[in-house]
Amino acid sequence: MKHPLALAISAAALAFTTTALADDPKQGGIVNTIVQPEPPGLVLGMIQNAPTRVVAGNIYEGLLRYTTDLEPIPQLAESWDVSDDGRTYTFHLRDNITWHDGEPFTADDVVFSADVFHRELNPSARAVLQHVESIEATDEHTVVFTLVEPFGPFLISFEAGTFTMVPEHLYAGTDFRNNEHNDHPIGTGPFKFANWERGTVIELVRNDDYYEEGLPYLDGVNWHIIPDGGSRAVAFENGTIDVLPSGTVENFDIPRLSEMDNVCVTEEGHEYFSPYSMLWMNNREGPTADKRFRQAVMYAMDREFARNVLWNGLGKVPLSAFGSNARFQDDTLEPYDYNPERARELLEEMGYDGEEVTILPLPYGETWTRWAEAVQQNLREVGINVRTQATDVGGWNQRLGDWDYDLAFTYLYQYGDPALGISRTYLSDNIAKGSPWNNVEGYENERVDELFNEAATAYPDEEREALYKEVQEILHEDVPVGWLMELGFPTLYRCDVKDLVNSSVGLNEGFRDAWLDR
Amino acid sequence: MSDTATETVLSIRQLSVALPKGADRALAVEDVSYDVKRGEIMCVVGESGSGKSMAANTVMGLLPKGVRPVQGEVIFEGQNLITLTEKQHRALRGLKIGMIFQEPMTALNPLMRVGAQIAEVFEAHGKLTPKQRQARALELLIEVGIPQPEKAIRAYPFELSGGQRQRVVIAMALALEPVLLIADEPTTALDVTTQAQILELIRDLQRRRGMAVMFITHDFGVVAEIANRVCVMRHGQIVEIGEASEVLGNPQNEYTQALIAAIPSNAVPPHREANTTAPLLDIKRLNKVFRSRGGWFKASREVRALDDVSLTLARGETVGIVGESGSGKSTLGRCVVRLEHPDDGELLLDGVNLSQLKGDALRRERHRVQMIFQDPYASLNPRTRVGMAIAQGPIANGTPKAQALKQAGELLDMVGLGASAVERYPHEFSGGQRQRIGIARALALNPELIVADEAVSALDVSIQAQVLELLEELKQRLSLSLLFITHDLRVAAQICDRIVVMQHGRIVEQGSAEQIFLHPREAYTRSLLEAIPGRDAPVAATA
Amino acid sequence: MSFFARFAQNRGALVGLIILLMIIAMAILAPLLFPESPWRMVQRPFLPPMSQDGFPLGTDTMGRNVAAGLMHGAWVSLLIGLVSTSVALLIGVPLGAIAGYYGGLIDDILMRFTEFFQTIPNFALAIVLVAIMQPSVTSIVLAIALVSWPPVARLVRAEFMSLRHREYVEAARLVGQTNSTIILRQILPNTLSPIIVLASLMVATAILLESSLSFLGLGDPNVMSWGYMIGAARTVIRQAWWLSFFPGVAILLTVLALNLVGEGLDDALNPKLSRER
Repeated sequence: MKHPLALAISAAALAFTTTALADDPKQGGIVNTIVQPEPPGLVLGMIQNAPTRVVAGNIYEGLLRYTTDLEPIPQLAESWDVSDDGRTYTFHLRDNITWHDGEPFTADDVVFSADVFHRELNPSARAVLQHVESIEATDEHTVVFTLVEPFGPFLISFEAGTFTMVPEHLYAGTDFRNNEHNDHPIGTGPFKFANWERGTVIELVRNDDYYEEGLPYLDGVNWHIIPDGGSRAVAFENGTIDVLPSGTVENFDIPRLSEMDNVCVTEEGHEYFSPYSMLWMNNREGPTADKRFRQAVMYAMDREFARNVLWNGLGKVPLSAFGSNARFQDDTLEPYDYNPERARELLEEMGYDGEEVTILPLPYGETWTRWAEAVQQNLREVGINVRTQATDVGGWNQRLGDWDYDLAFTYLYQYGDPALGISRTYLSDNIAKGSPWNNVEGYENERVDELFNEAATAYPDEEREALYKEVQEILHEDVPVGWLMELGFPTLYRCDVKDLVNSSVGLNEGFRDAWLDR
Repeated sequence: MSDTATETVLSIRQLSVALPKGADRALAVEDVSYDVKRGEIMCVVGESGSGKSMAANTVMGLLPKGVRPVQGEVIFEGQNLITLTEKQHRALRGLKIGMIFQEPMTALNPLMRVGAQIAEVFEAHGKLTPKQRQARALELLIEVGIPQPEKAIRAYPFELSGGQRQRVVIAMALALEPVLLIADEPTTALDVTTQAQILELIRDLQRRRGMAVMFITHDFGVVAEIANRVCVMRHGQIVEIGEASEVLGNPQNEYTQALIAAIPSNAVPPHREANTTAPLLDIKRLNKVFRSRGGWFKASREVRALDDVSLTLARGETVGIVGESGSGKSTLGRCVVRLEHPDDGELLLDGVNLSQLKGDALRRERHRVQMIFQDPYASLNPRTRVGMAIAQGPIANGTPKAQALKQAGELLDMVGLGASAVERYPHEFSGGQRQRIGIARALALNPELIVADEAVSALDVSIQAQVLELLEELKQRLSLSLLFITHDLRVAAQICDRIVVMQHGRIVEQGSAEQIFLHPREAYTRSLLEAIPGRDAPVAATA
Repeated sequence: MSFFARFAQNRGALVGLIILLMIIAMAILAPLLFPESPWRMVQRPFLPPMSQDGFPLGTDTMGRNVAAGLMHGAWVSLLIGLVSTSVALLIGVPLGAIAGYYGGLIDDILMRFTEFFQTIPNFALAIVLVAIMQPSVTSIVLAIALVSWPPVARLVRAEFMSLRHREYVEAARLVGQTNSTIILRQILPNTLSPIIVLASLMVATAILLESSLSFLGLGDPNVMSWGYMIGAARTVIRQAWWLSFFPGVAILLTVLALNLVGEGLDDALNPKLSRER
């Protein structure tokens, strides 16, 4: 018998070498990336713009994270229980977490953040808090949320951007917006705020006291600010930049850049947001008020063409009101395939007299302009008399807010759970002038209202599924809006930046697990 | 007087110069030959379009683009000037051959002081030091007789009068003591008295320096005054050439005879009955002052154009207003037709005071006084047909268009152009013909008084005679009253019953034509008479 | 020499005239050669030129026929150029005429007004006007006209100032013609030559302005103009050079042709050799 220690040592050595032979994350290195446009500030929750989320998501954390299938996994909370009636959620926090300034993270921080900070500053959080009766810290590392009634999407709301955990000891009792620590954000995340040279770069450095052993691998992340699209592409080409987040590169540059050596592309990392492009169709007046016209529009559009030519094959042609990332999507519905013949039949059936219909494009750039042109052509070819209106962002906001349009392009986030991002588009009590984000098309269906409202608070999931199935059938038939594209937002990165996108919010927290293979 | 042993400086032999395609004739100058000898003045005479200037331009190498010599030679100091390059011409210009042009303002740089421009002539040929140049410039100015030469040398061209400018140009031409001086109508733009002075100056200088002078002119009076030899040109060809006394006293060629006959006679004007009928036009103490707006740095200037002017004109009478430039004669004429607004005084036309009328009232009275303008080329709208130009007046006063055009045709007949001219454009007519159209236009409104503002001054001598004849005829036929403004006393004598002499806005003397000519009372009038060129030289008497 | 003979003497002007006639022919023949709307997406995108029958100039980012766009665009450019120049003349000529004829206070006021427009950079003002009025063919024409009229007014004013003292104008006044008649019948016909020359150059400028506006995305979205084509091709210039090249050459040739023709007109209408007298 060999000496047990020797055995142990050799076993250990064997294990060590095998893991070393496998993909072993290397420590060290700095990744250079871009944030576009420059965020207005970095205190997540107080500010909810996309650029803030992307950068500050690495400084701050939430109680939970979500896989690309939108399944919750632990972050600041290491485990949680849900009561049988679905009204009580108990979160057990880790006990080894410290803030970047050294203070320990406790349940008090959670209560403060959710109940006080976000209640005041964060509309998305407020929408969730409506369903919450009380939040209590039962001990230093346990928080209990009691709901008014069961709320399906509750567990999915704890992403870092919605319920960001902020330090109670720095913010309690202060004027949040003018707090001196806003310039130097303190979070619990894998990276600490180091420096922000306005207009040039935001530097984050490794949090050596991060509670996860070994993480992060990187020494730091630098978010560069380069306002011009062409310059960003050039910076990526010449190696100054390692990662191009989505939205920082023109669609037309993507094929060229992704064919470069050592460049990888991924469409993952946006499942939490599920960006979805739609065509508002004014249900109140004009030809668009007729359901058959709207169906005709869906048949007339060649959405595959748009996907292939305009979006370079990124994204997915949607089936119906629920995107493919949304929970409870019914994928058995009959798709609205490209069928100009059928479109013409429908128009004849309804007796369309050639009344002019205007298109309002989304003034967000070249791709959207081309898309409006393509749709305009599609509609012309089935005999719809259509004219494009030129507009800018202000004009677009205003027209939609005033309901002054016939057809208008837009895109929204669906946020995974229908109660969070989908219902708001179809509920009749969401009809109000002044916003381009609510029920802009003016669709009113009592049964749909009932179904959505019930399903939001139904319990358990099987009940929700049945209700949502019925609602999808109605919406699919009524076509209140046109369903254009589930947008693909690609991230371009050097292949030697590993493990970059590993959750449903992608880069917003991805650098936690990323490492450089250099 | 000619000295047969005198050396020939310039010899033009069988010169022909071609015009570009599309001009009114193929050759500007055809087979022309003449010499200019040292110490003599050769006058080249002709009407406009005769080609007299072309030869001079050929000598200087200043032919315009498209115009080029096709035959003959121009020999100067042994060289054929036609074959020279531009560079070689430049070497000659100023140094060996000097030139004086008609309009001194175009020969002088308006932005340079006069003394500097004279000095430039030296500089161009690399002679003398700057200090010496200035000194020479002053000497030259003294030689050409400019008043106050020390002041003049620092003056800008616009600060000098026309005559003074011409003296400066002469100084520039003489600076380098050329052997040949070419003078192209140098006195045509000058007043009579100034003209006389300049002619004398040229004669003096020529005698003193022994230069050869080629003097181009259209005025036979000038020829009579200074020429040694004469060359008469017509349509690019020489019709007569010889000693001045011979050509003037005994012209052989018909054309020469006609030209000389056309000169307004130096003879005493015919006796005319004094007209004692009631005055048609009564001007009482008319005043007009022109004020130039002063800026921040210069005071406003006042020019008294009319100073207490009073005169009368009887019905059917022709009164001539004679004066040099600046005398106020044009201003007077323009005030009478109300193109100018007199400051005060009365302008009574058949009892109606025109001087202070305005607006519609003025427009109603306008038809009673009409004007014939000086420049036949500028007085007709190039885009309006001739018939319409005449008819515009009656149409503006209410006559229907068809009728007005018919009347225009009749008027054109009357002035000798034929009613068919109604459809044509002004550019199809010559200067003299245009002036006839101008007369027809003035008659269109049946005015009581016609003001002729230098109506024949821009015309060639022979044409001038014809137009004056026409005016005389119309006057008899239509019993016109005419206010005839001119600077040329000879012309005034031919056609006017009475003459008014003006100077500096005042009337100097007035009386019958006979009286003014034979018994001038004022010194100024006398100086005017004496200044008429060729008055003393023998010229073929007119009938 | 006849008008055309003088014009033809300038070789460049003849070349310009030929090019211009070709462009006009393009505009007229467009509906015959390419009857379908140029907006139709008819083929694979990014077809290079001469790679397929019926698509001599290739296809663009959305598979639209570049040749069709080019020919239909000729009509747009010429139309906008002509109409906006006409409107600018309608504004500038009367203003200049009145200012030049009457002088004095009227002239001062009108010239200050003109200078106000001249001090604002043309292109910037055009952008602002189109943005405010929302891009459409009407607003583009108006905007171009509004920034182009000051030079016309200045030219006409200068001409009137020099001509109003001519003797034939005085003669007209003398026979009792009213001021308006004198302006219209006596002076204006004599100012036509320089105005015509200026107008031809203005059409060129108008076409450039419209192209620039469309390039920036401020064109009428329902109208395919050359400027629009270049703007849409901007992002793919590395992959598809022909999308920017052909419309660019078309604009270049049109503007060049107009400038040459303008010079020829200048020579023909204001002959230097044949001065009157």
